[in-house]
Amino acid sequence: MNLREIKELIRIIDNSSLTEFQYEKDDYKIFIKKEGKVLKNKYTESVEKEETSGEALFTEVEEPAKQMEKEDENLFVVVSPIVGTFYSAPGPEAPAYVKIGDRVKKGDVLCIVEAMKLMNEINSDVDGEIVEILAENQSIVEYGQPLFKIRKV
Amino acid sequence: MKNKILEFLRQSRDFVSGEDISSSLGISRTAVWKYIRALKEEGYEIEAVSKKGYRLVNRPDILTYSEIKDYLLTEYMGRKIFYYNSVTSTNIIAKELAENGLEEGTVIIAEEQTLGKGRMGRKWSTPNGEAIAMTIILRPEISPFMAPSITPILAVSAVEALRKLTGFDVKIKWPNDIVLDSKKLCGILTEMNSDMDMINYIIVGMGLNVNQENFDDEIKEVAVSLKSFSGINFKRKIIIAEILNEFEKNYEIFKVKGISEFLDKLKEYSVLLGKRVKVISINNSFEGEAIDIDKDGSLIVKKDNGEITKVLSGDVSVRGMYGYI
Repeated sequence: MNLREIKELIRIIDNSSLTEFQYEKDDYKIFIKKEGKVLKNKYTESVEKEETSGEALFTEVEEPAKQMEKEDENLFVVVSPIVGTFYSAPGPEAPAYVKIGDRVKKGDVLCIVEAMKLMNEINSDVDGEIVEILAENQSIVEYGQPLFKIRKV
Repeated sequence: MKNKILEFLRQSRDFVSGEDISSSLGISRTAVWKYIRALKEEGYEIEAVSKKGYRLVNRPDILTYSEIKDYLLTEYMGRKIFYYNSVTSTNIIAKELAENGLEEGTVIIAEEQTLGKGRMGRKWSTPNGEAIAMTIILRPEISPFMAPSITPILAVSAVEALRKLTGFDVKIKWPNDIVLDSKKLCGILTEMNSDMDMINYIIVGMGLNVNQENFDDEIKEVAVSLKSFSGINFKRKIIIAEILNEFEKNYEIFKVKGISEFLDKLKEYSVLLGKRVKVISINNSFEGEAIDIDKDGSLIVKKDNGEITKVLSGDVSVRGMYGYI
């Protein structure tokens, strides 16, 4: 991930209702957290660092993060992994995958986001109840845009 | 065992006695005879002459791994093939197999699809024996937001394979059709299952018209096959192998370098660029000129009011194509 992509990521997260974002791949980790107006971003490529490993930096930021999770700790927000069109149902005639009040299990399909004819099924990461659907059927959603709020059970 | 007997017959090129087969493979003469019969039912022409034995006269254009592998140059694409006579759709089967952990490069092929999937549930018909319906399972370690590019990567690969094998001027109609003679030759449908930051699997399916003689009145203005265009019959197994060969090569490049490596090809093969197009998306439609392919693979259209807009989703029609005039 280059600087431009990180900036883009920050912009998207800044505009979303996300309070935390964590991303790990190969030799780098990104952890972004919003506390009111404060935005933190730690980024490291552990290969290039000699003494400080990515691990250590990551832990440093995580600690204050834990204190922030009081109110919403049971609320899980599903965000879109791609830019595309949001579909709440598998076809024009078909019933919606989920509606408010539905119980879902980890791995259940919640919706499809389509871009360039790639149909992306979004799964629930948690067991819980759908409390809010934040995107309208057939609307364009951005990368990182919140789609569902699920109360964990 | 059936495949071993087939290999035996293929390698000898001349008559092989039933006794040779039975002793080499350690099975009874009756078993040999049963397997030969099964092969005949699959379409293999096997001549049986007393005192001489069996000889393979003609191999059918069936799409098993034994038939395709001779033309494959890949490391993993198509190294495991599931071949069915009739399925609901190869994408549906591929999803089930992917859920069960089948590895990257696994290919599902069917002679007939009863519920062939187009975009948003539209049906795509694949008649028996004349078309190619296949789906590839992928598990790339890339970010989900890169995944929409898999469709154009397969499109480029298929165009290159088809140009090489046929010499026809096949082109890409952004983002997921391959066209010949202003008609649809092939459609690609990609489906992904992912979390926010990790792809569980991608299945990329294609329906390709090969040897259909002609099409029903209602679709003949919009559909074409290699045969209806040229009058020539094509061997489907060679086409499949060549597409997989091209795709493995391009997919490996894409995973490292992204779609930017393919922009020149996407522009060169595009049938839309420079044309007047009508973009029909969900909440609005507009007309304009397709002027470029953006660095993320999306289409850039200059609207009639001069506004330049990026198209990521929706259907694009071109004048003079698919019956849109």
